[in-house]
Amino acid sequence: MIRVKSIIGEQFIFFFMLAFFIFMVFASPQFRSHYNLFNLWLDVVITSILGIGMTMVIITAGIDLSVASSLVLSAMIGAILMSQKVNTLFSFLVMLAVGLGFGLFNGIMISRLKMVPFIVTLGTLSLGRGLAMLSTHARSVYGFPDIVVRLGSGEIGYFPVAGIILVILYFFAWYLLNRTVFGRSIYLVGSNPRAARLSGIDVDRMKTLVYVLSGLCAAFAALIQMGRLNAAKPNMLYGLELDVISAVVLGGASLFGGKGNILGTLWGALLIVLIRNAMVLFGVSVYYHQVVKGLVIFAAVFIDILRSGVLRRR
Amino acid sequence: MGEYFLEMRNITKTFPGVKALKGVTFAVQKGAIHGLVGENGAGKSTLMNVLGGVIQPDSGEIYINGQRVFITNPHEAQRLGIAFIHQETSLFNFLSIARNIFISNLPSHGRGRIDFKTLYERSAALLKRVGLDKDPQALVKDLTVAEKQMVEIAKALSFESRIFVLDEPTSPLTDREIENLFRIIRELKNQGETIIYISHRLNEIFEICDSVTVMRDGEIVDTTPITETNKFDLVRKMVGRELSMMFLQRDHRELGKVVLEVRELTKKPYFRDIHFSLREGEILGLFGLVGAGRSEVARTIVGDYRRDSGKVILDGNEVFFSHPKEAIARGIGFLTEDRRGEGLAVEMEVYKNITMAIFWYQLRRGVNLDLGREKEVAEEYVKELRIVTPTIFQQAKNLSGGNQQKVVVAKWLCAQPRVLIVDEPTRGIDVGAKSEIYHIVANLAQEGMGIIFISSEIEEILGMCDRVLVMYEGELIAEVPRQEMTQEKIMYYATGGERVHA
Ligand SMILES: Nc1ncnc2c1ncn2[C@@H]1O[C@H](COP(=O)(O)OP(=O)(O)OP(=O)(O)O)[C@@H](O)[C@H]1O
Ligand SMILES: [Mg+2]
Repeated sequence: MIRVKSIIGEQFIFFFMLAFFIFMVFASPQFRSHYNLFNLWLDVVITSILGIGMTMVIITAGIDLSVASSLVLSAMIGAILMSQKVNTLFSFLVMLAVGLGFGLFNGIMISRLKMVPFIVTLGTLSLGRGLAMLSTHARSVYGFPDIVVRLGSGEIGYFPVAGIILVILYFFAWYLLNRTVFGRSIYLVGSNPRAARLSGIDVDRMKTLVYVLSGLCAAFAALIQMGRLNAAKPNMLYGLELDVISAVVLGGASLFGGKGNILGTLWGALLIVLIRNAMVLFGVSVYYHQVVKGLVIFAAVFIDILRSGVLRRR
Repeated sequence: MGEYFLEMRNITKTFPGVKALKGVTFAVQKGAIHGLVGENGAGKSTLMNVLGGVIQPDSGEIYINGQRVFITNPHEAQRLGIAFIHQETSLFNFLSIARNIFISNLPSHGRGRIDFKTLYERSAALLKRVGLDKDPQALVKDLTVAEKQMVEIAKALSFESRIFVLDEPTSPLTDREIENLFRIIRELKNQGETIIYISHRLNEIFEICDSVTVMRDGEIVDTTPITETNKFDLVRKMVGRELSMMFLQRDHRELGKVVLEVRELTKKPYFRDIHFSLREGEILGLFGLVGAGRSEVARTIVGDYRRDSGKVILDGNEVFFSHPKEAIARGIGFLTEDRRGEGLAVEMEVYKNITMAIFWYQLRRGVNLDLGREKEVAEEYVKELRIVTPTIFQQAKNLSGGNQQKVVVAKWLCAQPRVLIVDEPTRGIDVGAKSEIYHIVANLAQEGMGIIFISSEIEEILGMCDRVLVMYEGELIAEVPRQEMTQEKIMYYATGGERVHA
């Protein structure tokens, strides 16, 4: 068991992802094309930015199903503003406010009113998507300022701008989780909320904060998604929250709380996106996509169970 | 006699970084109550976990009734008649008592339909046997620790168990509950069952055991009939050295000014009109039977519970704590009695557990955590309290029970509050470490800390406290100064005083 445990630790997911990547490089010429790799990167960016907030939420033993919805709502509102030639920065601030508002709502319902995270965020998932549809009566919005487009799909040298943003955000997230009192607090809150409270940690506030951060991540991702498509569609990114959750759990977080690491989430997101990309490249039917995704989620949860020792037999 | 009923031969077990059992040979006679003692981390629980099939040894053999057995899992142990009552109870809180008792062999009508009538009848009979007056349909979550333990025993009785292992069963119990437990143990013995009894309370060992085995550092030091040994002998074998005085002499201490005052504090339904004051350098005992409301008073003072009415006054100013963090910020710490439930983050490393209550207050640099200093602090307290762990990076759950308790104690010692409320601080801690903790607490008082000492162990109260408050059913019924403290007097009040005995 000790051996299995260390193999399926943080390194496992990285090496698995790497092996898969190398396999793809050799197996598919299309995969190697600049165009594909570039798009892959952008896909990773969206999933893994949402993964930052999700990792923190899951560490506190919560879950945030509303990430894709608040992303879409925030993108629609930003898109409407920008297409009306409202100041770009102001529009972005409004988008952040939307993300923050969603996060705060989730956080307060969960921490103060002691509602179950799954239910609360299931509600906001529906709410966000619904409002996004209503905002334009399900029509798409096109045409954004240059800067937004460059953020989403521009390059600096060989590097996608969005990729650079991602690296910066991950550095911050890593720092937050591993070097600050806030990071330590959320691990403790997830491990044992009663002990955390008696040791002077404001559990309710920490819980609220992680949902707020998750909402802000969604707003960031929204901006990049808009720039990437140069469009905002209310029906985009359906079901992305499940990919994000799978990425986080594959990366080493436990749905039981108290465990999770941010780099693992990045590798998890890469793996998920690679799998998705591979299926497209190999011409696997869309229906199988769903099946494979389902299997990946099972695998992720199974790993979680193994790791938590529920099945332990020494 | 002479034939051993249970024999464990050359058992070894190594955990990463720890040789927990180094070729242990352990034998028990049929129908005997056999004590097992040793310091924290000596390997007692590990040895019994091997017997209970909870862990697999690296090598060694087990014989029951002369027959070699292979105990590969807890179910197999159960089948062989080994009942294990753990250091930490393992019942399902949201199932009924009856379901917990028969969790793995529910009586059924066949095809998976539970035979509730039989279930409740048989449960009721078992509860009667262990002296627990509860409805078998009641949920386990509403039981006290003692009652949960009785349920565990009833569960053990529901199998045809022949060997009962009790790992520190009395540490959360009060005297009366201990008497009841001993009655059951003796009854089992009279029926010819074999009992292995682990405890850090040597009085208990001498009271009920027929023979005793001492472990130290993963080895058996000695096994003797109880009549051929005494307390000092046992302690010497356990710790490998002579032990100095248990309690510090502390007659010549000056008490400082009043630091904490509590007036008419009420929190229904737990307690009413609690009134006392605490001076700097004072150790104030708070005694009472389980359910008297002592822990709840502590929780209310630090703001974990919201008070109904009354005042808490710190340094002459009234304070309103709505969250324990405010109490900590003002220098009041509270060490809980429930280490697994509220003391530790068992999945996390030892050092993070030790600094749990100070990282926000003493190790914060802006938003940053001073990781270097944190590890220093942790190392320091691991050394000072002699916490047995390979490194400070070990997960707390891998420590022995007593060492886990020391981690919780370390958490509050390093916080250096001005007022420290400790609730059963030495639960599960071995004799040597206990005396160390008493000395540390006494020294802290010497340096001016005010300490409220909640304990159910009367010797502790007598040995440590300058004054003791006795609670009975949520009310403060007496205050006894050090000069007048006797066991009889305190017990008299704790059981109701004039109200009951007059
Ligand atoms: N799962 C584990 N992983 C690593 N080390 C372990 C594990 N379980 C026990 N140990 C170590 O084995 C040693 C023996 O532990 P054990 O629990 O048997 O002690 P004990 O005699 O029961 O002590 P106590 O009186 O404190 O309960 C300790 O050093 C402990 O840290
Ligand atoms: Mg033990």
